[in-house]
Amino acid sequence: MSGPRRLEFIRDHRWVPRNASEYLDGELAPRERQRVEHHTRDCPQCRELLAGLRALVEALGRLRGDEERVVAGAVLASVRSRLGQLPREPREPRD
Amino acid sequence: MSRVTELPDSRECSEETLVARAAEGDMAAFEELVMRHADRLFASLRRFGLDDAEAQEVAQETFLRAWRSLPRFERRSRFFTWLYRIGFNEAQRRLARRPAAGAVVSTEEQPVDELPDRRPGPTEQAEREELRAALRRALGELPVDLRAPVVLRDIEGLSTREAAAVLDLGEPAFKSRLHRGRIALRSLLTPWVATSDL
Repeated sequence: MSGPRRLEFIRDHRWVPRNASEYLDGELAPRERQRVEHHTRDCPQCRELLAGLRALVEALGRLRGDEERVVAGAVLASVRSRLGQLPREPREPRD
Repeated sequence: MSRVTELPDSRECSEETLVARAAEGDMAAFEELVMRHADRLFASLRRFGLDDAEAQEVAQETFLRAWRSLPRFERRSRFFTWLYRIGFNEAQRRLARRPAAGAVVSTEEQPVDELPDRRPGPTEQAEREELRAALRRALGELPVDLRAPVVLRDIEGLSTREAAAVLDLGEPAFKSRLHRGRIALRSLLTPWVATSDL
């Protein structure tokens, strides 16, 4: 690898891991995406990092159906019983 | 000639209509909102690390606060995002009061045998369940400030903008925490992640 290319590689090798999540989330600009893709073609370490994070994010997404329980009726009953005792005051943060 | 306008049954109303009616004090509309969102909110709070009883309490508290605050809800965000914000604030307060359950530890600090074995299980279903358990355990080990972005973005599927708003963070700060959370999880799950075999 030539001197300038080696410098570029080292620079990107520091930059890509810091921006890997944004790459996976599709939040990098096209030029930045190219930078990631260009670097990971030559760098097995960053390629592995991206693959690992991608797999992690996919696995987390599959947890979406977990913990689903039917509690709405019980929550509503409790809310109903307490609502009469509470004043309606604006205290929460604005959206 | 007088004209009688009947309000439609709450169950048939759009969320926007229900929110508007609830903000004006319509209890039936508010109750319909509770029925539509309580299960999802409860599940989110469980995934964030509360136990069943805590998640139910926080869900109740969230709706009570929402009822009181609805007149101030400006509808710049989705109603459910606003509920998340109230609920996650309360959940974070509760989790912060707990004894430090576990800072992020690397796999060097935590014996690998505490993480799930990568040997094939008897069935694919069993392996999937093992992985889910490992993920849930690893999530529980993350500090709350890193766990919340991961839960909201990667499990709940909120956009970066929505999730940052729930946590009252700017997008750059949110992205930084999300990335740190993912990196920490990856480290905790090294035996699984090494071959991208999640």
